[in-house]
Amino acid sequence: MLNLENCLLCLALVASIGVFQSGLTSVYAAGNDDSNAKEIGAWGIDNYSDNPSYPPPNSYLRYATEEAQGFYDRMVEKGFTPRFGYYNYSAWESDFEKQSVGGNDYIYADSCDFVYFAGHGWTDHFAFGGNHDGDGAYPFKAYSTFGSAEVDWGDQDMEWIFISASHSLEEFPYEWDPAFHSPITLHGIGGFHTGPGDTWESSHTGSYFVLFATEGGESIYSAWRDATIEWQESGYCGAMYSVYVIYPPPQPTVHYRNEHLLGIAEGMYPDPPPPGGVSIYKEYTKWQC
Amino acid sequence: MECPSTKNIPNGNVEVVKINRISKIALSFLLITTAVGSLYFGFTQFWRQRAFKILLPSLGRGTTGNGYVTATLNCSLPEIPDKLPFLRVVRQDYADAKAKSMAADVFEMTGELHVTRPAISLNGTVVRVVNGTQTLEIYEDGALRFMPNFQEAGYNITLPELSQARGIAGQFIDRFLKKAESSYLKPNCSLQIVLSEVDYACWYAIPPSPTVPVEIRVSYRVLYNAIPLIFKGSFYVTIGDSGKILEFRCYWRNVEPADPLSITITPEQAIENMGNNSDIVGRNPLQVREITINSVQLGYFTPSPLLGTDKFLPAYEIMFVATFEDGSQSTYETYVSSTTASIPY
Repeated sequence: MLNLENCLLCLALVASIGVFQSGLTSVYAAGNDDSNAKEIGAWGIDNYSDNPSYPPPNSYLRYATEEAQGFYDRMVEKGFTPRFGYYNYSAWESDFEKQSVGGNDYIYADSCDFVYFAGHGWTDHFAFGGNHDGDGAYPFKAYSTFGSAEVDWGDQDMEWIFISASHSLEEFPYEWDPAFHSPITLHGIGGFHTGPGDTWESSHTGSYFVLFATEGGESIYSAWRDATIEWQESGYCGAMYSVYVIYPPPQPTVHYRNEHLLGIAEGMYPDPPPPGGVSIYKEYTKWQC
Repeated sequence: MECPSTKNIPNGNVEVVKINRISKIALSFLLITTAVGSLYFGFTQFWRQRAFKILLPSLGRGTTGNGYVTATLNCSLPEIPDKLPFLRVVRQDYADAKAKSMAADVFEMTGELHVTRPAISLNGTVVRVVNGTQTLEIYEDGALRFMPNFQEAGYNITLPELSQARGIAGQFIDRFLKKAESSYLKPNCSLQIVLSEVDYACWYAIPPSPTVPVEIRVSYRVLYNAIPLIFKGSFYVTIGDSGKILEFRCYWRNVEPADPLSITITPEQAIENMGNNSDIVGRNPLQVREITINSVQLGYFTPSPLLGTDKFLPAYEIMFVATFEDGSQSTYETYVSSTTASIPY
């Protein structure tokens, strides 16, 4: 009887350990889930009427949601997996923020491989219409600067994010550096050194990035660059941060900006290797539109 | 014998005559000076002092209502005709053989040429000719894009001087125009290509090192009967490492003049109306303090060839510098229709 109880206890222990382990494994697997590398999300905000930084009548952009939706619709049309299309009040800052500051990026933005944001912003943040800040530190903003970044992307799924907001990737002070999770798995960020515009013309930027990267067969860098040159005023500058890995010779160096969307040309590159034996940099390019 | 009349002329009258003469001389001097001064100021300074009040529906973050900003005119305003024909786009289909022939004859593409029609335009067809290393794109409306060389990211770029780049581009354009003249490529209409700017156009860095220029853009204006194609009537040569040409963007178009349209909006009205455009400083959230207008030009508003527009309408291109609440300044451009028809902007 005692033996039977012991056996049952052992069995229960083994079973619970097994379940616990499988739970851990699945959480870990989700930590860099490439089972579906075509998941996309788009966030766009025109309505800033509840954001005190944009009081009336400055509360509205005209074409940001259209731009984000253009990216979303074209990506879905080209066979990518739609995860989230959140606009105006449905677009929350916590969708982009890490868990340690009360965010849910692991459920939302960082569970997508390709993410597009269009709306207001500045060099150290992009802005939202409502206040959904997890810890109250930077309300209405997904904020990033050295020492106090609310974002940490790439530990889940995210490979690329495009931030179509004012001065989102200004040359200095390089405030989005902490947004790259360490070790680096995010491949790059597209954005603007100056600009973007808020015109009907400029609203084509998101959809034509997709067309250039798919139908046009262009690399992610070329597609983003061409989309901004084609649809933004020439006075603005587009920009990109992307990962650059130098392997020991004779292996070739890898500029992640040269990779393509999945299924196009040679497709995407594997995530950057862990540090050690290689040099990993983030390179910055800006261009006149 | 004295002439009584002369004698009787009171000295005072003589004095009066003298005073009148001095007055006339002084007055003449004053008038001439004023005239010369007016001419000088009229031609050089007067417009510098003109200021407009522009109603901006959005002054930027932190403002509490519609507001006016002062726009100081730092340029002359163009003389405008009463009427101007709009331009009708003439489309043509480029068969594979014709596209290959253009690639070989005009752009000297060699090797095996492949023709595809990538669906990168939602409103038209683009013909793409490739030979493995070079790409030529031909749009239905006559716009072209040629990419003869690829440049990898990195610091190992040796750019020519800007003046050298201008020469390289000039030679390339001359050669291209000569070859295009005898092909289907050159639009069959009055056309002028005028150099407009030579400057750096792409920069690279591994932060925190500062960026260095890695590309030069030599830009030209395309003029139809002396009226420029504005917005995306781009015509430029991009030059990279060791003077190699990376891209030739030739967004001229096959057009023909159509019905004349009355120019109902004056340049002054265009400046006053520019605030009606959706946020003229883009998504910049800073509050605009003042605007300095550096150029106002009447042109044909020419969207991207990808848009498949059927006609190009007369419009003003207004280039300006906005000064923001924090003292920072940025250069912008905006477009305002010069007729009752709206432009796709």
